[in-house]
Amino acid sequence: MFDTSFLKPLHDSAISEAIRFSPWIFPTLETLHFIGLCLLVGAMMVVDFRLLGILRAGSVKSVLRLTHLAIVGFAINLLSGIGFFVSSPENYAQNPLFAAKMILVLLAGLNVLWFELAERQALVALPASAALPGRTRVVAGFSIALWLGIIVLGRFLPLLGIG
Amino acid sequence: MEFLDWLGASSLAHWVSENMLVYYTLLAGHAIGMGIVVGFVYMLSARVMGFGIDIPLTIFDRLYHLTWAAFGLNFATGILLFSANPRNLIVNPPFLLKLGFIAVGGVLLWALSRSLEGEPVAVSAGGTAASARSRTLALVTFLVWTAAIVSGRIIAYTVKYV
Repeated sequence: MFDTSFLKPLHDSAISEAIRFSPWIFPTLETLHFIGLCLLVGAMMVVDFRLLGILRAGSVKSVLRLTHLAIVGFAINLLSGIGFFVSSPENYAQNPLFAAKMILVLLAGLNVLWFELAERQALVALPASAALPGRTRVVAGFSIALWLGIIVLGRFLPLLGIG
Repeated sequence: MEFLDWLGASSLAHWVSENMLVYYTLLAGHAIGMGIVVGFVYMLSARVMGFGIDIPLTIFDRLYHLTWAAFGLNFATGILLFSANPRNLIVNPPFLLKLGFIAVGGVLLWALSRSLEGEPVAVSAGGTAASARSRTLALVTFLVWTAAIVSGRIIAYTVKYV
C-alpha cells in the first residue's frame, strides 16, 4: 500500500468528522448515489441502445436529450461520492477496487469526450432512419460495459476494506 | 415462521451468507437490476412529464422486455439475499415498506402503460404533451420507485444480523 499520510488532514477535518459521526449523512449520501445511478443507467441504456441500433425509434438528436439526465445523475454521484471519500479518505485511497472504479470512471469520461468531440455533430445531422457508423457502436458498447463495471466495482468495495 | 427457520438454515442460505464473493456478486447483480428497472421508470416518467418530448414513446416498447428481465433478476437475487437473514428481515419495517413500494410501483407502471396506450397517435409519436392523467401517473410512479430505493437503503442501517 502506498503512503496515504497526506490524507490525514482531510480525515481530521470537521467535514470528514461530520459525515463519519452523523447517523444520517452517510445513509443519505448512499441513497442519493443510488438515485443518481438509476438516472445515469436509465439515460445511458436508452441512448446507447439507440446508438447500437437495438432501439430504432426517434432521431438520434431527440434521444440525445436524455444525456442531460445522465449528466444530472453523474453530478449527484460525483458529489455524493466525494462525500464518501471525505468521510474516510485513507481507507478509500488504499482500496484497490476503489482505484479500479475511478479508472473506469475516467475511461467512461474519455469515452463521452470522444463522442462529444468526434461523433455528435455528424450524428445529429443524420435522418432518423439512417444506419449509424460502426465506430459509433463501439463508443456505445464501451459506455455500457464501463458503467456496468463501475457498478460492480462499487458494490464490491467493502470486500477489500471500508468503502 | 417455521418456513423462515427452514430457509435460514438451508444450505442455500449458508452458501450466500458464508461466501463473501457470492454475497457481493448478488449485491452487484441487484444494483444492476435496480439501475435498469428504476432507470427505465425514470426515463419513461421524465418523457411522459414532457422532458425530451420529441422522443417517440415507442422507443420504450422494446425496453419493456429488458426491464422485466431485470425485474426477474432482482426477484431472484432478492430471494437469495433474503435467505441469508430471513427472521430479521421479515420484521424490519423498511424491508416491508420496500416490498410494498415495489408492488405499488409495479401496478402504477402497468397503469401508466395502459394510460399511454389510450393516448392519441400524436402523443406516442412525440412532440405532443400527454394527458394530465398520464403525466400525473408518471409523477406518482417516479416518486413510488424512488421511495423503494430510499427504504431499501435504510434496511442496511436498521436490520439486525444474526
